[in-house]
Amino acid sequence: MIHIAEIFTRKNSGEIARQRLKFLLVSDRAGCSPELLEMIRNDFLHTLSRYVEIDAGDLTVCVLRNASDGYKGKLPALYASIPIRDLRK
Amino acid sequence: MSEVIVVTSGKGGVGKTTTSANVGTGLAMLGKRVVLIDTDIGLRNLDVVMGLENRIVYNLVDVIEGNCRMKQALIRDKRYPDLFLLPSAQTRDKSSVSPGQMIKLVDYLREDFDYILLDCPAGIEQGFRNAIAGADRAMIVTTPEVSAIRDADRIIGLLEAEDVRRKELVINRIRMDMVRRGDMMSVDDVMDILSVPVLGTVPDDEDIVISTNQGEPLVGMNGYAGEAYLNICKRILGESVPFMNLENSRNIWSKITCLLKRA
Repeated sequence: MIHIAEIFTRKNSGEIARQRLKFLLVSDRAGCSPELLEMIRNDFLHTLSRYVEIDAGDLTVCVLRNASDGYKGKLPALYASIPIRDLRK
Repeated sequence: MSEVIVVTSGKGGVGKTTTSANVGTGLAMLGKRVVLIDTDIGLRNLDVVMGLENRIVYNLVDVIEGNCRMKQALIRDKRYPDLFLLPSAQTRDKSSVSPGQMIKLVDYLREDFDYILLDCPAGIEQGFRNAIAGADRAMIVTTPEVSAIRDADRIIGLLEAEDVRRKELVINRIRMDMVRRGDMMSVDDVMDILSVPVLGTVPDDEDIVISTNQGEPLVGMNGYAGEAYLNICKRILGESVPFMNLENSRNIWSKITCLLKRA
């Protein structure tokens, strides 16, 4: 028998699948782990905030496959979206 | 103008062959001249799903190696005179064919057919490379499961690298009762994750097992799956067909048995 408290706290398995896939595909697509992307993101944040004011929550970093044309064919490219709050600090 | 469509998925067992058989038959039903090619060398199955397994004399590898003419290897369908199957070889392996040879074969068939459908093997090795080599367009079959979607994403990446421009999803085996209670990802979830346009959605339907047992594709027949496949065919032809409501796709009997099991 399922405990009553369990019914209310249980997360829908569809939602769990969705979340797992999102993380999985980030690392699959990039060919690198989410941890590595997180490190790159933090370094961006650290370096740039020395010069301008940045909203840490809005900074997104991702790697897209086959995005740029290199001399050896299509290569992955790093995309970063970094909204600047204030140019003068 | 003819079009070459590859039916692929990465993961095995998600319904590539069933989709190929039903879409091929549906296009013929809509008046097109269609050839289905089974490219899974060594593990042929499309002949069985089409119910044509007893009529095979020559196969894909025989045509490529020049052991017979194309006309001798093509099997005409039982019901639609404009539908043909080019079966795969059962006793050979995928290294017997190269992508270059596939392109040549497909280009030869373009002269004679409106649609050339390639049923791709599972995996991303040579068999997959052969199947996508000559394709203009890809139908990626997936189910609302983590492993199938992950593989579909990988396939989409590989198709992009090979410059197959037009890529569309077929989401198979949806169970609306499970989606409703949050235990299965919805069509929107899958679309959102893969960001590829959806060509069609097919409910998990017992009729598909029955039709495969009988060797007769169910496209166009009464019932949700039959209708879903026919809608996919119409969309391939460029018609805009609204997505059907899968809400009641589990029929009344399965609901009753479900209730009885729970009691």
